Amino acid sequence: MTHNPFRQKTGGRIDRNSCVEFEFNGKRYSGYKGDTLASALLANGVFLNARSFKYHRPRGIMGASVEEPSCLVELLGADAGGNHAATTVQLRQGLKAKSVNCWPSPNFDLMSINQLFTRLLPAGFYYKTFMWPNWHLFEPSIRRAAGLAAAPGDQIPYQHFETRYWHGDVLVVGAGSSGLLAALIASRSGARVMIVDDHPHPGGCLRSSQSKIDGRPVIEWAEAVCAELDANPEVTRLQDATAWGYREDNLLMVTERSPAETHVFQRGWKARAGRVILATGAIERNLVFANNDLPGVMLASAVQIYYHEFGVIPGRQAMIFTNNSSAYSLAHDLQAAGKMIAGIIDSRSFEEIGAEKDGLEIPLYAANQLKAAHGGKHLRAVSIRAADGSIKRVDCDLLAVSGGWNPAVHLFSQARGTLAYDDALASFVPDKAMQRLACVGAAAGKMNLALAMANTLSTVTTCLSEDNFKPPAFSLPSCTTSPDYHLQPLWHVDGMKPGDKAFVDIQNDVTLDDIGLAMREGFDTVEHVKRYTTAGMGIDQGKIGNINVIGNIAMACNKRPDEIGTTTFRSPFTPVDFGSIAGQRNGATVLPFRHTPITQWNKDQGAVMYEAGARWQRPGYFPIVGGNMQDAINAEAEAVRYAVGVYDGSPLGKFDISGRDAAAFIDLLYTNDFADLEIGMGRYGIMLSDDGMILDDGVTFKLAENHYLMSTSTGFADVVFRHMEYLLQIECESWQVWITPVTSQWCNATICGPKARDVLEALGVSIDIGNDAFPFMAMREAIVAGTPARICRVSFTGEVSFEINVWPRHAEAMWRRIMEIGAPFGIVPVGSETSHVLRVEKGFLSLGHEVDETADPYDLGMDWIMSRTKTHAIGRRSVDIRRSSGKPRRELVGLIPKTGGELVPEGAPVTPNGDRAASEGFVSACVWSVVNKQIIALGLLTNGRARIGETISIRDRERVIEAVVTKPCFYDPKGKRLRG
Amino acid sequence: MSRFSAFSLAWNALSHHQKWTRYWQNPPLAKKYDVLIIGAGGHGLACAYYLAKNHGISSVAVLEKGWLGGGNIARNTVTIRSNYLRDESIPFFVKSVSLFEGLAKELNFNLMYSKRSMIDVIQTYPKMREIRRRMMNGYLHGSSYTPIDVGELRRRVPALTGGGPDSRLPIIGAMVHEEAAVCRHDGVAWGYARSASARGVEIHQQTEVKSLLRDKDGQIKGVETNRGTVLADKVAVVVSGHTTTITETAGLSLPVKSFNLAAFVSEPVKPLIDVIVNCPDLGVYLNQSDKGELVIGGAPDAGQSFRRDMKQSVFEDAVVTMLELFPAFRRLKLLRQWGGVLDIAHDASPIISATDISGLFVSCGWWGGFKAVPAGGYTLAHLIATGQPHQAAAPFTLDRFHHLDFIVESGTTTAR
Amino acid sequence: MLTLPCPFCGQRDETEFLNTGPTKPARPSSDVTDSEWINWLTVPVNPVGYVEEKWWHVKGCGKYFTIKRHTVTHQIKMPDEDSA
Ligand SMILES: Cc1cc2nc3c(=O)[nH]c(=O)nc-3n(C[C@H](O)[C@H](O)[C@H](O)COP(=O)(O)OP(=O)(O)OC[C@H]3O[C@@H](n4cnc5c(N)ncnc54)[C@H](O)[C@@H]3O)c2cc1C
Ligand SMILES: [Zn+2]
Repeated sequence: MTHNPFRQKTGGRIDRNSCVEFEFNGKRYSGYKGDTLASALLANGVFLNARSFKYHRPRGIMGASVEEPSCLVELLGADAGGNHAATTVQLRQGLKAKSVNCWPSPNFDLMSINQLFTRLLPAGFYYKTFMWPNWHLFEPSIRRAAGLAAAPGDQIPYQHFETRYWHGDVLVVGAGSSGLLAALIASRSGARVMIVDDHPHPGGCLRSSQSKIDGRPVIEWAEAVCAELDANPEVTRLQDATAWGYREDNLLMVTERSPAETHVFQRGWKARAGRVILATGAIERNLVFANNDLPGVMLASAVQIYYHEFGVIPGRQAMIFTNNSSAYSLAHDLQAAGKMIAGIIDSRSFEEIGAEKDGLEIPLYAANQLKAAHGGKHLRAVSIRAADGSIKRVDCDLLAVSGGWNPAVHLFSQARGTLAYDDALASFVPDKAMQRLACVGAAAGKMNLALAMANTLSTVTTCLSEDNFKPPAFSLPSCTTSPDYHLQPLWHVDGMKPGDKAFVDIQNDVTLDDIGLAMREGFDTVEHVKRYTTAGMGIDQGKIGNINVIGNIAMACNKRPDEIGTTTFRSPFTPVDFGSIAGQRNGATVLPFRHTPITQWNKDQGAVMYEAGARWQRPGYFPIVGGNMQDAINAEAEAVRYAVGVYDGSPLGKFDISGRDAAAFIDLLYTNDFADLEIGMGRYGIMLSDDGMILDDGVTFKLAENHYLMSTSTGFADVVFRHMEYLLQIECESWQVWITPVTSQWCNATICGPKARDVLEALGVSIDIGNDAFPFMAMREAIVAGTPARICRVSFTGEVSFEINVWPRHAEAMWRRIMEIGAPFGIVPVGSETSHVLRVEKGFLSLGHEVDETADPYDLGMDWIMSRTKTHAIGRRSVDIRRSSGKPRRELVGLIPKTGGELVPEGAPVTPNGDRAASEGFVSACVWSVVNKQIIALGLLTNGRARIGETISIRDRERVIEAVVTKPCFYDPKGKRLRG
Repeated sequence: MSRFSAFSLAWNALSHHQKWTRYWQNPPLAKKYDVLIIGAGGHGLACAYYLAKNHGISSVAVLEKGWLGGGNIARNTVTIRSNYLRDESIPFFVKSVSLFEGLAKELNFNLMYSKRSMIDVIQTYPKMREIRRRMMNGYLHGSSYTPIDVGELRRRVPALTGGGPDSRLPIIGAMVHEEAAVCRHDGVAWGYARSASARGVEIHQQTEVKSLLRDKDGQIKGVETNRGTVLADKVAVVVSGHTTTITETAGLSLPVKSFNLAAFVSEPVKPLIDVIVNCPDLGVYLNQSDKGELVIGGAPDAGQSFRRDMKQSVFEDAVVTMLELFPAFRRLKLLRQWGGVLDIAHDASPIISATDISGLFVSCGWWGGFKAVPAGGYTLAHLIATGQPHQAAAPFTLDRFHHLDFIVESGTTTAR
Repeated sequence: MLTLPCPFCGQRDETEFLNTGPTKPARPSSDVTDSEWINWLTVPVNPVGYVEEKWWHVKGCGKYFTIKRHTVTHQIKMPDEDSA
């Protein structure tokens, strides 16, 4: 049976037939279906349910929604997660929660000892102390004390996050009276509409209003509108969904927290709308007086929500403190409910108080101020200061506070709209919009139902017409009139004695004195105050308190609040789970990888696969039984050098380039001449960036007049493509050249080694592959093993090589055939580690090794590739300028390290005499050479070519390794083998 | 300047903290100074402080268009490190880190400087090779790096549960850069401002420089501001992100462009990660602030921008890649996000230099320049006072562009 | 996130494109001085206002095209539109 001492016998929208058991701070309670954790706690009389961040003062629930600054809880169990405002947690069977920030419980919190030292902890105190001996001594304990809840675990079994896109005409944010009306008009105009609202149920502040629309209770009107919207297939209506980010071009980020599909934990929407209507309402603000943080002090609107929505009145004796007309409706509610009201304290003069007071039979303390709230762990009484200065103490256990209302301009500001200060509202209101949006209702500063509805109708109608819709004739629903909203700013009430704590930011424990101190110390702009005191930097982002910070700064320096300005409104409006931002993007969808038709075969052989640039996965090496990685690499390398090996060269970038100006284009790209290249032949080239750095290298074949096949390195194919398209489309607009990326249209198996020709013969090839008929650097079309192929004679290994290019659908069969036919010749598959060894033996370049964004072709000993005639080639001018300074260059050399068989780490610097000093070069690659049977290395060394024969010192931290400088080629320097 | 200590704090508590004095003075704007510094960010304020302290030049005015310390110094992810790649850069950043270490005591201001290591999480072999190269190069100049294996990595960062053997990019190792630290960013600006002011430097907020003024010989003679003309023979432009806007008023164009870089924080949670975690292969890095928020950064926005922004796609990539390594953070909440306008030089390395205009100095290209604030200010002050670049910053002059002799540090690590 | 007008595909989400930087003046001929060359190479326009730039519809039709984008408001105009 539910025992809820503060629940009314009747009323509220909870389901009194469904009792819900839950646990809070280890104790069991019960509430009803429809409760929030906050309403259930209040119904149970659990008023002390939090401790404050810095001073560990007792705190209770102050709000009823996202503005809640005080009661943050950590959920335990299946959907564990931290730092939820208790007001936004829906109660459900078995819910377990605990307060953050106190230990062992809010009632008996050990850290409350901090309260004794509060005097020592003014704003910014930490800047002034903890310096001796150093911050490191203090930091760990401070870290432990901070941080609110523990980080959540990742246990949401059977559920996932997902993302959806929405594109439409009108996106309405907020489903209060204005939002619903806006959506209704837009949908009747034939627009595609989305309406999102962050509460579980539509209606916004209508839900705690006694007003009537068209003679019916407002809530019935809201339900009827929702029914009509739901019946329209062009309308998407989301509840419990927060629009938290407003991006460019009307893109809104919306997180839906309770999608209908049970397997979806949360759904992130990316909604792009032609027009956005912000009907985000207004947020009630707090008042600043001594002990305004005591449990029992609540926002007036929150008390109203607890009463209307949940049938809870969290006190026996209520007092109201206000500076405006809105709080009177609470007095009317309580009076109608027959509750004890100790009175209403209004800082406005009696004359300023309008019709709102009519019909109230409670003490009205006009032109009075609430001096202080009193109590230990709960409110017991308040001191009221009359206009004549006399102080009166009145008992109460519930204090409902209203400092007026701020339009919720957060999204408007995120959309970079400007704000204006409205004196009547003492608040910032939307001024100039910077995107296609409009604010309506309370969000536009219209603080009364009838006004808000009228404003919505006219604004939305205008927007729709502007957007070429024809809004139907629509007569404004008739609303019961409510008194005009009126407010007299009250930025703070002075305390009774020095040291009284009046909070401007409840969550971050920032007091009025802190603001004063900050300003005395020179922090006199709002951003400075915010950063020095941390006001407004909590999870609630100061939704109820920031305006008081601004007001008090203005007051202290005798300025208007608009001269002070606001701090930036940053997304998200309320915190959102990172999971809902990522949606389904995880694993392979984060970085999709590229694979060839041979990838699976490689894996089946047990190859060690890894990332080989440009998201290709390639085999590193093929482990051998009874051997380590080096043994495996040696075996592969020996096969290539002494028999035959084959590797999957498919990832190599390939571009088909054709058109009238193709030859000229190739000439522009490469530093060397291609003009005299014969059809059927290929040539190695180097491409530079405009900066004169090596961009890429590769072989280009001439297939026909003005038709080429360019190959690029695996890692830079995309970059080269962008570079070429840029030149073509922007700088050479009139040229006729077509570039087709054919990287994955041609797969290749490269057979290399002294027996390569034998293997190819054995496979069956339709052409003469003898060296005369098919020389080095030639390309031929042929039928290989019954399959049409392009064979290229290039070599990255230094051995005779045949690159057999076939269409992807033939690649796997071709590969298997090669392995089968090659077996008697001792063929083995070769991974990229071995390719690395083979190319180092030959002194062939590798981008990312020798070419580290600083080398030019001369540095690499390739003077011959810098055409004497072709000065217009891309990058050429820059190389010449750079070299004209005469500054010594680092040049490619070979190195024979004296390590006795151990590899030198690649990248190790060479330093003068091995000193711990600036380097004079580095080791770019180091391998065990199977032909030389020793460690060999390549490196870049200052003036290296002139130093061949010298001994230099490589330094790996404390270890110095000597090495002899050689020419950068350790095998077949004349290239006889690869031409053979 | 009131001295800060636990004792002075207690003493002032007795008078309810009514007696604390201003951090910086608010004098009237004079007509002429010896040196004008445009921009009261980290670099500008540090330069002013070192001009006064190291070179005895205190007729210095720092002109700030908004509020001091309100630019990028207030919006960075506070990574301090020296693990650069090239001989030209490392000594400069080593110097900066060592200045940082003594700064709280020197300025009598707790900057909450917290040396806590940065761990690079390595997922590809090319990255491993590059970071090893950094390790060995850094060692030459006193910047340290220690390799650790995956087991040790997971022991030190238990929250790192992704990147296992079956994941898209398995973690293959990690490197610990011990000197890396974090520090309260606002504190750096306030600390320098307070000490500079105590040494006679004037800081003028809400004073926007509209243009540079030159005499008939082309030599700099002052600036035009929204508060009138201010004269000086030496003017330094230290306005991170807005450099060209100012130099162009004197006809000086520079090899830099402006762009937006964003960052974000999670809700505050209990201690979870006590190092800076940098994931260069995925492009995200994070640390946990003393308040408990995870401070997270990713890639810069593409394209030029003078607007503080939050590009959804760039942000989303950072979130997604973070979740690859920290899948449990799916349930952690985003609390706040923001951007800052920075500038980057053509070769992506900073510029601390005299210019073709006599008397005009620039310090720009600081897109990872929070860590560089002490050394940047120190060496800029040296350059202004002596006319010669400080040895540690000598590679960073504009001269390098005359021979296209770039210092190529780009695309190297993710953490700024 | 912006939407951008591809001359070929129409208005598309920014994520489909690559911003390849501001329009450069025409590539200098080989007879310019070194310093003119260096300027062309290293000094970009960097206006607070409209910058003319090249975008590549890389995840779409592959077209490079020119627009003007305001570096503060990010408003987009066609290259022939007035930059006021
Ligand atoms: C999101 C983000 C993350 C970052 N993370 C890191 C990091 O982890 N580690 C790191 O080392 N760096 C990081 N950085 C970079 C670092 O913040 C900057 O490099 C550094 O702060 C720039 O130097 P500054 O402090 O002098 O600049 P700023 O603080 O920007 O100072 C420039 C000042 O000049 C003022 N100004 C501009 N124009 C005028 C004018 N006309 N007249 C007068 N005043 C003017 C500005 O208002 C501003 O106050 C990050 C930056 C960002 C945006
Ligand atoms: Zn297109």
